[in-house]
Amino acid sequence: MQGKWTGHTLLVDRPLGAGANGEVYLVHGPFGRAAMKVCANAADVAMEWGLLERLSANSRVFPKPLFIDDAPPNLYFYVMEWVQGVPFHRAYPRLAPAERRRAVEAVLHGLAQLHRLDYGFCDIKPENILVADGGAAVRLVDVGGVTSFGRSVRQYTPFYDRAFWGLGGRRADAHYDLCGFALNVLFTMEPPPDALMAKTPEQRQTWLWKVLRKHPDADLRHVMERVLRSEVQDAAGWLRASRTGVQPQRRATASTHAPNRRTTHHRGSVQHTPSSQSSGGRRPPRRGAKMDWTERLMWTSLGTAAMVTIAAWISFLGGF
Amino acid sequence: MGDSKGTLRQILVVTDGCSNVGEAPVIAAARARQRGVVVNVIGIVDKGDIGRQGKAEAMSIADAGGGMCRLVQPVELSATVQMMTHQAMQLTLQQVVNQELLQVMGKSTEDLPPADRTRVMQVVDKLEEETDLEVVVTVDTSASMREKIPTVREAIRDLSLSLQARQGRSSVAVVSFPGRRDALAETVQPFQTEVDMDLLEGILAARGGTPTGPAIDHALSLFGASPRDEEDGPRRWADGANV
Ligand SMILES: Nc1ncnc2c1ncn2[C@@H]1O[C@H](COP(=O)(O)OP(=O)(O)OP(=O)(O)O)[C@@H](O)[C@H]1O
Ligand SMILES: [Mg+2]
Repeated sequence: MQGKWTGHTLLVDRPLGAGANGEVYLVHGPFGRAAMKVCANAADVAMEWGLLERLSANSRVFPKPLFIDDAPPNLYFYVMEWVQGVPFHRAYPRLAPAERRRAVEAVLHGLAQLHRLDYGFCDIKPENILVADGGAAVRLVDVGGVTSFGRSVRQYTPFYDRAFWGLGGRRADAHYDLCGFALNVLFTMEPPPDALMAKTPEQRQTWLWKVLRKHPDADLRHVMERVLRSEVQDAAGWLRASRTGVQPQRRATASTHAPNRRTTHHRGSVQHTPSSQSSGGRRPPRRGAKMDWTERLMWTSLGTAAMVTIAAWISFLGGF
Repeated sequence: MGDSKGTLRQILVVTDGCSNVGEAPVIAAARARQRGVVVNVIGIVDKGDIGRQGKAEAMSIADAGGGMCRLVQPVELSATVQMMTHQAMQLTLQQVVNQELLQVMGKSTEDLPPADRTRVMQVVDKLEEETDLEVVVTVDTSASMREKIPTVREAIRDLSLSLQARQGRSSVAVVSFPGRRDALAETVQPFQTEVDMDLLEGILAARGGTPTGPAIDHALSLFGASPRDEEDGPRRWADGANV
């Protein structure tokens, strides 16, 4: 495969996974081995790339973005760091008790790091949590669901969704992720039956509390219950609560170093593009002019006065 | 944000078969599209199959209605309803932004270098969160749907949870077809910001055919007249926004 804008050639090795948005492949390219996410839709690729860029400027939770490109006629892709590891639901049951605790902590440290940037992971499911080194190294993949705190969750999986269980709303916050993660842990032991889809949230909860009571790890069960009941609201709270149980040794986990470089983080700024190494110098260097049009697009699209005509545009376009 | 903000309008048809009563649904869908209402279709495939004909019809309705079509198992319904509503909004806004881009730069999103597309998508994403939205969920209640109705009800409740989380205003109405007492279609719940589960109990399997076309028309009538529909083409956005 060859990229249209960068000219980079990629050798596709094997598929790493697939989902509703696209497919991910292991590839060999100018950056060595890497993971490529391909979609048929330019919008999804562009969206995820933007998030990866913003997040990777301040944290290492997600794969490092390498470059974004098109393969004409209709494939859109980006290339990122290849993350090795086994999905959570397959890794977790095989870990020893101490390793399990370590894996849970590693995920929580990762979430805490993301939360410090005011983003929620939201689409937490076991396939998106990759575990390596006996639980010592945990990474998150798929930024498709990552949502700024306070905004509506853009992508989720029903069984790992707080609102599905009637345990809270669907706006991104730290607790949304904690709930999602607790449900992940819980369902590695007992996956929910499809029949719950036809049940009310109250009936779903009845099932949930039953499964929780059966969870074999007593310390974890206790913390998870407090999370699901909204008594524990953030990752630090969970970590504190679990440490009051059995005391695991503290260690610096390889994957979740927290450099805490918040100072450089521009909150919610759209202009914040940490690096442009992606475009390989092919873009005309007219930065000033470019600012003008995106800024103007934003203005024309968002100004309240402008919004008046949105409906008109829509019906106008509908005529074609 | 005032009342004057633009509103995205969608009809979501949930069905498990083919229409067989009243006007062809494709015609009703085309009419909806003309009035700026996008029509999405979810075909529920249960054990058996929605059938070649049902599939073709579902696709042609979505095509005529400028929307999308998915065939799913009942378990997937909830996630699909949510995802389609989101994708349809995104698509509409993308078209709007694309138009604007063409005006400003003479380029469409796909012509832009990927890094610039990312910024366009941030605009689309912000718009999606903040615009107002009206959705009419239009549910097939013909006899074959009986067992799936509890799942449909929960999917509607679930959709409304997603919509309530948005920053823009959203409202949901629910229509069933056929309606009770020989009506072709019936409003189960008028536009409201939240779903009323007591009202949704009114989604019941009914006797009669599958009047999909009349149901789309009924759904369309719930939107009321948009004062701007009558204008002769949209004003340029920039008119009001340039400072
Ligand atoms: N950088 C990566 N390194 C290794 N594996 C990866 C990487 N990115 C994704 N994967 C694997 O590919 C799978 C699918 O990727 P991803 O979740 O991004 O696709 P998606 O289409 O968004 O899926 P979904 O519909 O589940 O959200 C992941 O669950 C993961 O197992
Ligand atoms: Mg995804």
